[in-house]
Amino acid sequence: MVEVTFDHVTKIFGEGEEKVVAADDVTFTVKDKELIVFLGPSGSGKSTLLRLVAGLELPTSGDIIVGDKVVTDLSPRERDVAMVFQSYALYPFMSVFDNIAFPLKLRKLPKNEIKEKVEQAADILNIKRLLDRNPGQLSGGEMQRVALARCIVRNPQVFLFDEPLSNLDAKLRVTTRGFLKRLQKDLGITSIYVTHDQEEAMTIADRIVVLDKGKVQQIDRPENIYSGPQNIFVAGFMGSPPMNLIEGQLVTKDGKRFFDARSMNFEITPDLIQGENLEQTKKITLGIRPEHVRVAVTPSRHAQTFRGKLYITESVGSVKYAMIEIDDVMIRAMTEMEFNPDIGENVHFIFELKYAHFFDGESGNRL
Amino acid sequence: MPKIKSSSSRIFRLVAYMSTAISVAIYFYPFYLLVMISLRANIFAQPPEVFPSNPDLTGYVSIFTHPAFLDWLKNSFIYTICISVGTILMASFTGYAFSRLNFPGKTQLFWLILGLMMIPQICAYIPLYIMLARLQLLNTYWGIIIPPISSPYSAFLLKQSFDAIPRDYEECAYVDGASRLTILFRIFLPIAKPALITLTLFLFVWNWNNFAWPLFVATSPRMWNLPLGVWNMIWSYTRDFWTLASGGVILMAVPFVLYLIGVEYFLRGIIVTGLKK
Repeated sequence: MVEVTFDHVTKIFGEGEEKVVAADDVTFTVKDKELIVFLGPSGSGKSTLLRLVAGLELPTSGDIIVGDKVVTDLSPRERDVAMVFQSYALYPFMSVFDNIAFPLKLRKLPKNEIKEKVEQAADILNIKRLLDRNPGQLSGGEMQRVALARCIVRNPQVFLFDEPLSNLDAKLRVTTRGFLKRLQKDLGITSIYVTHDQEEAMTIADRIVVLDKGKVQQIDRPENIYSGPQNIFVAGFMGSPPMNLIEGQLVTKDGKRFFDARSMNFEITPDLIQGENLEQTKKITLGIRPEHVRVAVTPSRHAQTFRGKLYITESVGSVKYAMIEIDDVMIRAMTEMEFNPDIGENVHFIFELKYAHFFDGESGNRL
Repeated sequence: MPKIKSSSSRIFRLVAYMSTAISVAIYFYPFYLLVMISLRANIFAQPPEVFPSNPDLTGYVSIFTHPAFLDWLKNSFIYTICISVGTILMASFTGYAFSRLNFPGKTQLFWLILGLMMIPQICAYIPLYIMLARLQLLNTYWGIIIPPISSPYSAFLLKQSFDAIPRDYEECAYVDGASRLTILFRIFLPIAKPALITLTLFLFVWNWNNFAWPLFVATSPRMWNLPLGVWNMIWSYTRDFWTLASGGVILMAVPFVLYLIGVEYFLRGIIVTGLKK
């Protein structure tokens, strides 16, 4: 049973004005056999957290625990973790066999055992026919598999993946991520996976850790992060196309609460916001995904309708998105392929408010 | 139009070939003359002989039969190999330290080493002589071999080629369980192979031909290397130009063979293909 625990881990690079906080009091546990994804934009500190587990960086404060051992001050070789690099880092002067065998040779295993293990790993990754080649003769996908083989051949406690798919072309990336997830489940090795691609994170992860500016924004299962973002950052980062975020005011009148963003204004019934002490909150942000905005050429009779102008439509093949201009705000709505009004025409839309999220306009936190 | 273009390119090619041929001739003429003199061509005759009228090998014979010849040859190989290997080891460690380690005064030290490259080595001979005399290492193998091992140029060359190695390689090796020493010898040096081969050839030729340093420190002729030995022979038998020339040909032969082996590596160039970027 191998868990990886971050215990109040802080990592600061540089000093004074150049100071960068890459990890800010990070505390959570990666569960046994779990595939957890660190997701965030560049500079969010996701790679730093991974490198802290590998031992390639040392934390400024806090502890990292792998299995039952505090590894904070241990060198990489004492940690028994394996890492796949974005660049694969295959040694160019060694054959594929020697590349995969390298970690075992460092451990001074007997030759026949090395051969057996390398062939086993190559078998799992279906690269047995490549063993005599040099890295220069491999395609990107093959190099990736060799890098994976070099990791699994050691049977490490933890796998670390640093954007392993970002150098593959789009089609190969999609097939490889499925393969990777299956491989991880078959081997049952606790894994940490870093990516900036939220779609990749959604598809591959058991749980996602969303990071921004070195801080953990949310840790949860992918579907929960998608449907229940904890703050504006997560709401805006997860989903493609992103969630509509509409800034407005919270107005209380006659004991009722209203969302007020000029033309868009409606009552927020108590079942929509669970938060208390809303009296201090003035600025508020409505978050609603495009699939929960219904758009039509004629107004609906059943719900509160808002009117905007069609800015443009975008088709992605299976569905179409309509960009609607209202006041100075652009709202994206998902619609049928048949939806075809002229640009600039008046269109009507409703919000499916049971899927709406409200965020504090100041702190960005979910209300 | 294409005709004009092809004729101008033909002229260009002709000029290029001719200048190449002239340069090659200018480069090779002294070597040719050396070989001919070693075969007793009389270049003092009027007109000078460019091919010996009565070629013979007495120059070579007198060198090969000299009683100290084998000592000199042995010394030459000992000095060349020990100094070259020592220099590469030392330069590898120094280059690695400057490329990858952080220590106080690193920048200043590196500039100091660069500065040392600008100073002719011979400037250090007298202080070194005094030091070796005090250590009682004059006229010993250690005294001849150790000082030239510190080579700022070699350290600089290896530092530069280590700098070009992407960090992913060593980080990957670290995580896989390698130590710094393993990384240096099993990752860095193989990747830096082209630079290493260039350096090896350079060091070999330099140390093989080294004349001044052994002359300075090896006080007894038994400690001399081949260049000193050849010089000694012409010194004792004046006007034996063919012997001197034979010595030159023998000295030249070893680096020349080495070059023929190494030239392939020179041309093969740098191959770094294990990364996908």
